[in-house]
Amino acid sequence: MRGWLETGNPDYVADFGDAAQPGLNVYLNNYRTQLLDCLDHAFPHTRTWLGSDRFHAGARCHIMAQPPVAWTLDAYPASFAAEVGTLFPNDLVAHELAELELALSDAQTAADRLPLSREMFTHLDWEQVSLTHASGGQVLRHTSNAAKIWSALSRAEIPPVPKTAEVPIDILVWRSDWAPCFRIVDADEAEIFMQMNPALRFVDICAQLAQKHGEEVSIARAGLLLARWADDEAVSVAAT
Amino acid sequence: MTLFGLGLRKPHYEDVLSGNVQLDFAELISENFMFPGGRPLADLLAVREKCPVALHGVSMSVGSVSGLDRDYVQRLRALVDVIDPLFVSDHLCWTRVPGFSSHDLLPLPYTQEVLDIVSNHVHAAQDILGRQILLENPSAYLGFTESEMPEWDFLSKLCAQTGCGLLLDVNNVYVSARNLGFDPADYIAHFPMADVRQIHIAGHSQGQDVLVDTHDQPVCDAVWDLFETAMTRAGPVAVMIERDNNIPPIGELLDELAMARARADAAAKRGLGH
Repeated sequence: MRGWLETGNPDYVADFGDAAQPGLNVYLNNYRTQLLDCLDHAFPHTRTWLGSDRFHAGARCHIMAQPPVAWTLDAYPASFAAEVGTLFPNDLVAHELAELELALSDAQTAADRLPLSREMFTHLDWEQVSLTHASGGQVLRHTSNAAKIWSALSRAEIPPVPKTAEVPIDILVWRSDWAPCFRIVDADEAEIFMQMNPALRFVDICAQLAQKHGEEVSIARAGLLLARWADDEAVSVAAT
Repeated sequence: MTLFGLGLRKPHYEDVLSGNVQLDFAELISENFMFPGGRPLADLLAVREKCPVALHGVSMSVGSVSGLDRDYVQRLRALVDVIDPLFVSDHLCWTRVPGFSSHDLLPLPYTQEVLDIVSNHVHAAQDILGRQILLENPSAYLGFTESEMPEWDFLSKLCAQTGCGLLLDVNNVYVSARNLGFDPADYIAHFPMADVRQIHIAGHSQGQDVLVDTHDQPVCDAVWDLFETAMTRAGPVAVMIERDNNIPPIGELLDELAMARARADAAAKRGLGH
């Protein structure tokens, strides 16, 4: 039965006999339709960008090549996102659109974390506090304008022309008030985010900034970042 | 006492959360809430505040020859501990072997060997969950010549060996009967109703050569008749309408639930019922 579902090759189910073929077809159709629906649901803007026919052709190739392994269907889109660049090698942005959609999807069900708020600022010992990403937080590094294309598609606007970025584009993804969100960040902010962990105090991060930009600039910059993160609900307190 | 509820899907959450719709219980799909956090779990907890919840799974795969996925069951246990559900159920089927998960409910041959495998897995699952589970009779699109006993007999023996309960899906009986050529009334007459804790009522579609358990149509008259017959032999059970696709406004499902009450009452008046 597994071979039948994975390939549709009737040799795998010849023992069932001809009379079983209508039933076998139902199982095959259920299997493939479920996976196709799963990918459709996970990558709505990647599908719009590629066009439904191209997207579905690629999805069908992927379904034939890589069966699901995990008990949850929610794990299946990750394998597709990893293959989009191979499935559509001539498309400049499709793989990064898929990567962004996967990160947004993962953020939706990531572990809940209490976000840092402005009200918490005065109660924290800033000599000791360390920060971490808010729920679902991660940084993506893109080489194209996929994020701007995603934003245009999400507003049902005509997307910009796809192009390679002159420098890598860092995108912060997280969940705020149950909704996944993202914004493009500069290299400093991306680096801070990637470094965040419970063992690294925020003052240590500020010290690194000071080495790059000088103390006065870095203090002002750290203050602005903290305020922005609190407003965005983008970080949480890891340890105090 | 018979309970009447719905398979609650996202389009109808607000109807329940607003208090506009009162249900004896709501059944939700376990795997949709087995996440570390986020909105789904918050929604489930909010529903749980309004009415008892039954958790219905599709991924336990009690028929897998490769063994029970203990990580899956432990995650389910974590959800059960939070929700304290009315019932925890899954299907008599297999969905998984190493390196492959079908995400579809695949059929089993009803042999003593398979009964032993399923019994071991049900025992293990109940041990991890710390409670009884219910198993649902699946819709079948093919049968196995190797089967040594009818499905009802297999399920009856499974209950006797493991202490599990049953979820009788009346629509599945009808779909399987039409597809495999047996008499659904005969199946219901033999079904071990004393072990039934929950009943599903649903709709189906006509496929190319077989009926397909699509849960996208209203319940048909033949399934209502079968439900009424089943209720003449049922003890206290939780009855619900299951609709997963082509989901209508909740009023249509409540109309079907009213029909379920009427049919259950009719069964009771036949003098043998709940």
